[in-house]
Amino acid sequence: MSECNFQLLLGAYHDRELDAAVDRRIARHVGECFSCATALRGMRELSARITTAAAMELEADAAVIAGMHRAVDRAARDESAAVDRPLLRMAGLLSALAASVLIISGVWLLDSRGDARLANGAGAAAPRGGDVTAITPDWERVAITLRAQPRPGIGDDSPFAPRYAEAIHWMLDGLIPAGGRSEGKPWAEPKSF
Amino acid sequence: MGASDLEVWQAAASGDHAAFHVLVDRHGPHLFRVALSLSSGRADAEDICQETFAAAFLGLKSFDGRASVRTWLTSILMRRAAKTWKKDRHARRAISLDRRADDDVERENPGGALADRLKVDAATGAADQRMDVLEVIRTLPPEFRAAIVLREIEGLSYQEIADVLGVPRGTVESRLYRGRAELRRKLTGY
Ligand SMILES: [Zn+2]
Repeated sequence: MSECNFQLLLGAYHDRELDAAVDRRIARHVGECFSCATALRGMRELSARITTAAAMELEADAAVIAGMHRAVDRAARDESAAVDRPLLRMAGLLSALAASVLIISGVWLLDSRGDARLANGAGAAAPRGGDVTAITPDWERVAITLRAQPRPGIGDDSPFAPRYAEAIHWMLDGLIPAGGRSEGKPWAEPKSF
Repeated sequence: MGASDLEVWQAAASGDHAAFHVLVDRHGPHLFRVALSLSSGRADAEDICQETFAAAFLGLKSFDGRASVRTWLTSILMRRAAKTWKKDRHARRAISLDRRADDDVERENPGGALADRLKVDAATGAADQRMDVLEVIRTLPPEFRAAIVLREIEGLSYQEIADVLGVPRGTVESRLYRGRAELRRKLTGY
């Protein structure tokens, strides 16, 4: 039944995929050609049969559709878990970091205060405005020495010197609770009790 | 008349999870029809549909709105189904030697046993209408099977089938022509 060239277009004609002009031409031809008319009838019967079978055998019941809904919910849960996981990890990491900083600075502060108390206790006759480094812990001595004796090679006229001095004053202001600092002196004379 | 597919998709893509369930209700039944016509059983078809909707949900933003939502979902389904076919083929290769011999015959002549049965039935003159046409469709080579199912069961246009399968429109036309010829041959025995 393949003797007619029009048969190549019959499928598209049956599926209504041809433009109007070609469609009319095929319709005319089918009216005149037994072979094409038979082939077209076969195609229509086949389509009708598939449609009927599909309606009978391929219906999705409520349980099948419910399964699809559950799959979407699972995907949504997995997706939000995947989004939350790195955030939680990051938050955990930051908390751990903050805790470490707290612990280290706490230990360091306790250690510094211990040093200072020891120094105060040992030097009961600590000079007033004398050698202040005798009663200070190491880190303060370093700061005082830096201010008193600028690093070699950096003279007073060096643009670096004021910056160093400012930084050191700032350190001392922040770290020495007793008194405060007055202009022209390393810091104010400690108050006598 | 409710919101269009595209509007529902937009709502889903901007985080409205419930909107996606509307798409499941709208397209679940016909996707299941396609899946079941392409696969060997209901359990496989259910799996394929579930995977399809899960993948679509996760890839909501990858849909550009140029095709219809239905075409987009169907193309995801076709990819999942193709994966299942591939897995089935590997599984079949792993079975025993005697079964493997049967498979070789089956591979050379897909649906051969069924076609033989059909011929016998055709000889009695009563076979054609009794034969499960969907079972015969499942024996077609995959590319013909897909084209036939998308046209005859899904009712997609040639261009939509071309989009779903990622082939030119002319290829769709030729697969349909050859697929129908093969189907007729298997159903009628000539
Ligand atoms: Zn003709």
